Amino acid sequence: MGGYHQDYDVLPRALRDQAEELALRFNQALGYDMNALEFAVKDGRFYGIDLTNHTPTSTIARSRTRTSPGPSRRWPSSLSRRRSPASPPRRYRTGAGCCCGRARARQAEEAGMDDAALTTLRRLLTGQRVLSLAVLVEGQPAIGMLPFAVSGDRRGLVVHASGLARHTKGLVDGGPFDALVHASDQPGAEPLQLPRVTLRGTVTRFERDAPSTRRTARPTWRASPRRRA
Amino acid sequence: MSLGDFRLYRLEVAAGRLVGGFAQAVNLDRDALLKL
Repeated sequence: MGGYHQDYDVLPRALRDQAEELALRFNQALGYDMNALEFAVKDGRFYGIDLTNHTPTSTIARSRTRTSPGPSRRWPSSLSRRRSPASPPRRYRTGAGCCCGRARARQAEEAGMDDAALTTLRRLLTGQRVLSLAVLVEGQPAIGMLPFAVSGDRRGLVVHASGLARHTKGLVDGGPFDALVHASDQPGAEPLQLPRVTLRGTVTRFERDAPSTRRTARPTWRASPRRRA
Repeated sequence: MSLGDFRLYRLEVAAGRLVGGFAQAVNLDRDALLKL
């Protein structure tokens, strides 16, 4: 089988950076997570050749593109939000370059999270299946273990809780939570050095059969790779 | 109420903290999961 040889130094740095910037803007405008773009450059001007080679993935959020197959084929409202004020000037829509994990890592680094931290966070939230959730029940702390998935809009988590569990009484709309996800313990590992993430915020209960639940929570849950494993 | 009385809940993230090992910690804001 053949393969690709990736060489970031084949182009002058300024040209490469400009191509990357144009590719990022193009992909952000269309909501692509991963896309390969081809371009030609003449006299410093970029000409897009083949701009839509995006990779569809299985989650609901990542299937929300115009052409990718998936649960939703319509143009979502979230995509129009992505094109609002931060969207690129129209002349960039024909820009080209290459967008890959390196670009995401750069965005994360700008937000104070380096590549290693982003990898750790991704491994924890997509590799682990349960979290420890702390809530308040009648003013007292209650903690439980719940299966979880990252929500489709990547603004939070979705958890599945039994009505019989004590901690579920603390899952009320607007109620506070504190959650812990940690890497699996291994023999010989230093327990206090296990990678972990704590998250806090507020709870919202999905109403059964409500349109918002069907649209957001359940597809997210079913699409979670960990649920299919 | 039965054992099948499970519900879905959304946990809206406001902040957090990631610890990757010794002396490696990052504060997270509400946009942290968008970078996944």
